[in-house]
Amino acid sequence: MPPSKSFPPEFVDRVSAATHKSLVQIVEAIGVKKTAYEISREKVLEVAQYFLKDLRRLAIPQENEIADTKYAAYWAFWVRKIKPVRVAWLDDAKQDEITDINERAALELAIATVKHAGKHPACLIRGACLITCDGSRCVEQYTSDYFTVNENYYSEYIVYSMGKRTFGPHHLCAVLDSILFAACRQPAGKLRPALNPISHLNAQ
Amino acid sequence: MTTEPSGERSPELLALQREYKILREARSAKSEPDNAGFSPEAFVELSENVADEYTPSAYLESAPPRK
Repeated sequence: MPPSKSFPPEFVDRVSAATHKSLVQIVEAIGVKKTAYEISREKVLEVAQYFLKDLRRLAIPQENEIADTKYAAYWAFWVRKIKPVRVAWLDDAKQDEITDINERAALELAIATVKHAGKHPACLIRGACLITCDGSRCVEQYTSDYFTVNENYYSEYIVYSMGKRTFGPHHLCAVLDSILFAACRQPAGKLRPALNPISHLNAQ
Repeated sequence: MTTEPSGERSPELLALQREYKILREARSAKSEPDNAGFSPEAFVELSENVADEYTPSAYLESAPPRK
């Protein structure tokens, strides 16, 4: 039974189109040429159907209040699960295949979604931020640092876990919540105590 | 989530939307409207904003796929 049974059809079409266009841009931003990848429209449609099914299930107990990070995580999860990018190569000769292209695209889709959701009162973290920011700048800066430190250790671990280990939408949601907290908590006015080694020693 | 409308959608996105409508109907997945009180309009719009206004994250430049 197609999971879209209980949705207005146009929502499935709109999310399918948005998923497709986002994936095209993200795959190319990753470094894949237009002629070096294929996207399955059948699978994009399934991503939209299963994603909206999850969204509806989540909305019932949460009274339509779904966090941006959760929305982003579920959208990305179904990309990672259904794998709508059939194949992608790094080279023109199509010898150097990116075997985890869907996981990489899913992670960037999630980050892009969190950034686009921006600052608004319903967001527990960004809603409290007092600095002038659209809610995406700090996330962009933080991920730029976090995902590349130690030769991309953390981003590669997430990509590996998404593809090779048990990895549900709640795992990705926890990662995104942590990123949002780390990126925006201090600008929101909740500073960590200064890590001053001298004062620490004096306290002992 | 309170994304504001960001204006008209791109022709590319609208064309894709029409193509997916045809694909969905061809797969006999046509559904009856039944929202059960849930209106994901704002979320669907967020997805469209991501698609129409996407800017690559900076980390992609320095974290290319590796074997």
